[in-house]
Amino acid sequence: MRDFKQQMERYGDEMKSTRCPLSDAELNREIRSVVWNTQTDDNQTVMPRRRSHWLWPSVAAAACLAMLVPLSLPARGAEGIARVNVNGEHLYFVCNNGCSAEGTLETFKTMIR
Amino acid sequence: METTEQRFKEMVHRHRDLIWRVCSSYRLSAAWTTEDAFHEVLCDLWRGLPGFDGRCSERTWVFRVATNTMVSLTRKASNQPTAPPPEQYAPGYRDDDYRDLVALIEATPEPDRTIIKAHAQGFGYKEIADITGLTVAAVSMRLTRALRKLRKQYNQ
Repeated sequence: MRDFKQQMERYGDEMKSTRCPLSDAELNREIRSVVWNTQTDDNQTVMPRRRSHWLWPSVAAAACLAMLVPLSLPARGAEGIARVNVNGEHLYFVCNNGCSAEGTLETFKTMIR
Repeated sequence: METTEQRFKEMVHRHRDLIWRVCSSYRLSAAWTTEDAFHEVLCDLWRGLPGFDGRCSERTWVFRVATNTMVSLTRKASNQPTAPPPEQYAPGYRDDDYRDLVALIEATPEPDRTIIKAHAQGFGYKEIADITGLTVAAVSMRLTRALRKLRKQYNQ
């Protein structure tokens, strides 16, 4: 018979010992993106999307043209984060060249004009 | 005066490990990463923060919000392929007996799964009652029954 009690204790120990692997800088970026995206959306109610739905600006423009085909691209390391409402869909756009969130949004707007 | 944003930031930093633990303890669909889930929980915490009235501890409230988010995400993912266990954050998954136990816990219906997880995190009956909305007596009874059932399944 397997040792249930021992494995449950182990489960508890592992639950308690698991640490968040994000650095302070990464965590602050997550926080900033959540707060920023809920405060600058043309007064609309915000429903932030998954990180993996963040799109690179060039892909984002293509996605708009292609009726928002779901895309999943890595977004980690991005500095600029912007959220745009396209046809009722809320999408995130990221830029890793040092742009601010506002800069990223402007870049995106320029690209789809 | 402390702004809501500052309060949110401090709260997230205080409970980052707890939030991550909750996120990494659920099996999501393969399209989701723990980072995605973590972000989703932060969004729900941010939206819910103005309504947090301090009737329970901040830690209990954070756990409740994170758990509700994860339960909702796993419900949506129930018909999709699930991601492999996050071994990098839970080395015990490599052990067969331990993996079996985790799978059984994950298959436990709500609210018993949340009760087991909260208990494993060290929350007391009163705190688990705050998390689940059940009475303390109901939490005690459900936990006892859930663990008994889990033990039976584990040893079958």
